[in-house]
Amino acid sequence: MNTDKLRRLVGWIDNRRRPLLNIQFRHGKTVCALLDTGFNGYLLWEASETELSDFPGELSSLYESVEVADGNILVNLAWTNIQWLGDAAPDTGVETFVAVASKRRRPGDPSVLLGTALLAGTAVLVDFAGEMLRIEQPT
Amino acid sequence: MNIHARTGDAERAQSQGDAIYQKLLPALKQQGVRAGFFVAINIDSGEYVVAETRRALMLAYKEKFGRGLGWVKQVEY
Repeated sequence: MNTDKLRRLVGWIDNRRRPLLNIQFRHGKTVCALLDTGFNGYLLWEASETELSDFPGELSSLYESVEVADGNILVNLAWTNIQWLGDAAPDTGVETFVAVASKRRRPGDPSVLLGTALLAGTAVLVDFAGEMLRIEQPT
Repeated sequence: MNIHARTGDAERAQSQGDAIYQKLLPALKQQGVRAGFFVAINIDSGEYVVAETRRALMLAYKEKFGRGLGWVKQVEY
């Protein structure tokens, strides 16, 4: 019998066939994120100006050009804490890119992209038949 | 800060930061800074800090330059 404990996050596939999950930030803020395997960073926060003031983390005064699936964008480097893979509290510190402009977003798009750097050491199942996303990490 | 100020800052950091980075690159190589490390350049002074991760870079930069506008590059030779 395998007695390993699994740390797990479960999301869903929406009607546009996108793998989504809710991420809980410190201070109780929960945001819908899109799993984007074309983005090799941790988190990309693409917010409108109004939503930017709600960013639940620390924005630095540093800027960088980063590569995403459809080209390069200018971002503000930031740091935030999230609840990740069964953490009791949102205590996992995560490097975050905050997009300077949100032109890429269309109405209904999630404001957060979750990249492959955050998936290191995990197994990801995108189950289109079952309309479910599962991210698991053996402990 | 509003979105226009942020965009202006980001574009200024990019144009001036890239120019400084190109001049800096030979010195970084001479100092043995490894490819893959990150450099953060203070736009007003041209000074910089180097770190292995972005998190370490953010902390080192803040300690040295406070909230001064900066540009980040991952070192490539």
